[in-house]
Amino acid sequence: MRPAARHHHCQNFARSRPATAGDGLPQIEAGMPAPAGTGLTRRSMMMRSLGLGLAVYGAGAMTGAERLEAAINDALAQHKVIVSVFFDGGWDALSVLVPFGDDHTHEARLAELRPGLSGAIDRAQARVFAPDPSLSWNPAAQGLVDLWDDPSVGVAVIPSAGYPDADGSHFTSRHYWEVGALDVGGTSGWLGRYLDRVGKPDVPIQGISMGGYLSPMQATDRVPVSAVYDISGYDYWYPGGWRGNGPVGIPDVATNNLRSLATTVTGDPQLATARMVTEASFQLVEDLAAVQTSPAAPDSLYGANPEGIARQLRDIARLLDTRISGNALPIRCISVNAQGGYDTHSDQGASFAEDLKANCDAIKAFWADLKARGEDDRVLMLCWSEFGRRPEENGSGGCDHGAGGTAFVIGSGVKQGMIGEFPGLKAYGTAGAGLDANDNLRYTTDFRSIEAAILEQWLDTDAAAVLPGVSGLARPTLLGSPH
Amino acid sequence: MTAPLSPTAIKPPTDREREFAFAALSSPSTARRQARVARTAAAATGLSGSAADPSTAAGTVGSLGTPLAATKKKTTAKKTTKKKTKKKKLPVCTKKDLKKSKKKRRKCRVVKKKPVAVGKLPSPTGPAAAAPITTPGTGAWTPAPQAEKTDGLRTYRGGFGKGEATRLLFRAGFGPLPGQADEFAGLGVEAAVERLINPPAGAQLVGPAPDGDFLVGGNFAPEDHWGHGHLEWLDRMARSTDQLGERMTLVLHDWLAISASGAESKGVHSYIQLLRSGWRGSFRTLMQDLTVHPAMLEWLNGLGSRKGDANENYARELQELFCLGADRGAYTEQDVREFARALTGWTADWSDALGLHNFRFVKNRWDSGIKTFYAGKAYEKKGAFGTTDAVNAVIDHPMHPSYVALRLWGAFIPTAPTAQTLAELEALYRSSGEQLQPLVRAILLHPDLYNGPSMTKSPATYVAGLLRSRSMGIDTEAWTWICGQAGQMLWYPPNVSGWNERAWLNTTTYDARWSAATTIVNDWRVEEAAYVGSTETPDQAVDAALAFWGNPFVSTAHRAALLQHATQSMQTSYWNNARAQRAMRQNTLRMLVVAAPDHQVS
Repeated sequence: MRPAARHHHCQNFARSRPATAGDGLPQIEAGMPAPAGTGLTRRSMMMRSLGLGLAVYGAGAMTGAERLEAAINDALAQHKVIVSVFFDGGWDALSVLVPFGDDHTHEARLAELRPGLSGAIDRAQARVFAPDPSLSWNPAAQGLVDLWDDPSVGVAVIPSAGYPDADGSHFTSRHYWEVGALDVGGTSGWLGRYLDRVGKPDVPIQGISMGGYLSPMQATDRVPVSAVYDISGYDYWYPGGWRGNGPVGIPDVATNNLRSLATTVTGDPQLATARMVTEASFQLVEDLAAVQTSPAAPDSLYGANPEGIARQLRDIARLLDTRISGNALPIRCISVNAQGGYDTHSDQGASFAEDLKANCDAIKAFWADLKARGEDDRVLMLCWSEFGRRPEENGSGGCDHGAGGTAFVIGSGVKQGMIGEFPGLKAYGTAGAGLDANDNLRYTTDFRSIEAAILEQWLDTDAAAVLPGVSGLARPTLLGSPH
Repeated sequence: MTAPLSPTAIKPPTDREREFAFAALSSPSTARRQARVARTAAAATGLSGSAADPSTAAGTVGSLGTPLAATKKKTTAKKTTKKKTKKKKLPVCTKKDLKKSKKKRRKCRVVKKKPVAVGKLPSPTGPAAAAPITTPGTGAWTPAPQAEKTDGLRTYRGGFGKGEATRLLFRAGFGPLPGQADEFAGLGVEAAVERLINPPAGAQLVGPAPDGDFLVGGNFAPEDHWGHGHLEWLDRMARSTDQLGERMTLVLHDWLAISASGAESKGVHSYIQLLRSGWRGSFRTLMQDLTVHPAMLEWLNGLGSRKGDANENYARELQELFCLGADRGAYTEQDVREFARALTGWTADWSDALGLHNFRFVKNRWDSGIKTFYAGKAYEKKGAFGTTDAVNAVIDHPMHPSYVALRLWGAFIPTAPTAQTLAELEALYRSSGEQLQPLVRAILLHPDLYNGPSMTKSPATYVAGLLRSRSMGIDTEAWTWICGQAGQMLWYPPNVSGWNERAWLNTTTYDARWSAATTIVNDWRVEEAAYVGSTETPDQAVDAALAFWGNPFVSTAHRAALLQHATQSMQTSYWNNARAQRAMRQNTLRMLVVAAPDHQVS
């Protein structure tokens, strides 16, 4: 049951609109990239409320089911999903694909730069990377190797992704990837701008961040997105307010009045965000209601009581498999944080392999789950980190911030192989140098060209309209027969 | 330490200097001992620590027998009367209950337990829960220089009513106690700010002491039990008479962030204490102290960073996040490396029994070579620099004052200062010898705080605000997971850049704030048989719900929504039992007071 028609909102909109001027919040932390974070700027509230107002005038208030159905019908032609897996902290690319193999080109330099880190990897167990036999998979990445061997899934490996003049800051570098531009002032994410183009003004489930933190990649200017921790227990209850069996209980009346306040337009930016989130939260309850009909995967896939990324990927497969009148939920973008911390300035050996294994195993299980549900053909996965680490190890059993890093694109429609090349480890200033002036791995693929290729080739969207400044960048071919 | 850096050779710290400095820092028991002494003294004289008397300022405590404790007792008595209407405490939810939807398990209490010990740490002085609010340190309570009232730092002259006072109390503290917003409104803005900066009662805990079987010997055990660091601090936020002190400690925890996920809890506990006492002194001194604090040496890899194998972690964050800021040309990658060399030499021992201990500077681990800071700039420095020099160099950097001014401003006001205001804040920072307190005063008095838009309450602020509005103490450890899900578990910022203050609210964190409200409303909920408001009008029902939360300031739109609910909820026909309906109306109204979007901001 939704509130009675909210005609007063249109009046509020008209009243409050002239009271606001200026755009967004200023940058208040000097020199920090403005977080592309809330997904809910003041401008979005204005735009959204305009949409709501029109809906109220045009068709009367919709019930949750009607609202969702409208979005589903609209999304039918365009139901492809992008899943982002972020390895937080700057993972050590040279420990994912290790520069030793059947081809010994890099090994003398490797022994010179990081005897401890590379020496700790069990070379006998390391599978040589076929497209470039001077590299080998870390044995802990066996889950990815299994996907590589799986004829129905394609894995595209980008051995050195980055951007010009790498910034050694986690936060700046990550921000660039998230906003899809080398722009410290950017406030919307590249997937957020995609959602702004194709999404709906009242369907928060279209963009999901798993966990309690809204991924800045999905920061929108116009449409709502959601963060979900528990997909099957998301609900709002009132202590001492029983619903009873009648058509409308007192808690329903309370929620209606709360949502009525939440959809009242204000020119106060953070109040607008608070109201928008409140309304999106109650919409999300409706959006997630049907998940109960979609069973979770058996324990054999992700293990019993999976936690972290395994639990989240299991939930995502369940969400993607949920049907309302035979149609999938209108989900477009999903963000997940990989398990573990990758800012390994010290004691990398203590955590890296274990974390890498947990993630690769979970990703492998996810694709098996999707296949079993017949959902694999509409999902594309991007695994990335804000940078790779310094080839030269430090004295603490770790390595410091670097530049070029490894990324993967995975999907049943993805053309398996290598995008760009491994630049080698030769010192800066020598012929064929693989390192830059800061002794970091030179990037060979601009991350923005990967994002542009995903938009164009997978999401059928004009990349130039979403990513500023990508017109001059070559696009890798992402899709094709996996093998 | 406050002498400006000389461009020529600066002596590296001697081992003796370092060890001395360290010994003073690394002994968390010192503070406790001092406080215990002070507490004893206060109890003996019957006086509490006062702002005017530095000798007792180090004291503390929710001790009985002080005038403030008496006030507290009154509050408690009032609450006890109310408690009579409270239902018997519900049984704790079982695992099976938790599998059901929240609606279906409404007859039980959700208590999430996470008793994961962070390793048993030796605690020679007994449970740290006894740690009192302490020690602003030398000169901490002396009045700081007042900002000169130029145009950029002018004082707010508009109306200062309950709304403005509420905003001030939420920005500079954790919200009003019942009646406090009206009391502050009566003071006017200048006296109100002054009271926050120099609280007449000093730093004391007033109100109900923590209570529950999660306590260890009646106290928090923050160094031994997961979540107790959060609870102990939340208790201070809810009960301390030094609201600004706790607020500034939180601001610094966010700005100079360390997390117990990467440092031993013993170290984190003492580090937070350093922030709490250090904010009233010079920022230069605070940076010097925290740079070599055990928790920071562990968290950002100062330990193990040695000559020839320097670790860059602290060298980078010292500049990027703590003192200068990224992406403004303040430093280069080369500077990160030069600073890393200067910061070498620190080490500690480790054993199963003691964890990390014996933190020290070892000269032969230090890179004694010549380093060049900020090569090619007018402020370039060259010398055989060590740790103290590195910190002095960033504090002396010409772009440092603007970074501090903006960080502080942004902690209280969500719109940018004008160029003139910023310039005057920078000048004030330098002229005061890098003190934070004069800047905070100028910011809290500034018209932009009162005339500008709202700011979202952080999760800890929101929850502490709920407790304060009911004069409640910590009586459940559920606040740990609730604040965690809401996005702010104290001691656990997500990374070294702290929390993202502009992303507090999303569909998950809103759900957690709702849980916070239900945690209180459920324990005090009105039952049909007991409800006395059987003849109340909608207006009276709204007033009763507001009174439940200490009569908070509510916006016009918010009040209208409450009134609409109070009216419409009696029009549902199903229950056909006016008394039951009124009870449910009251319960749901209480939720709508604090779960409303308008209550998430101030």
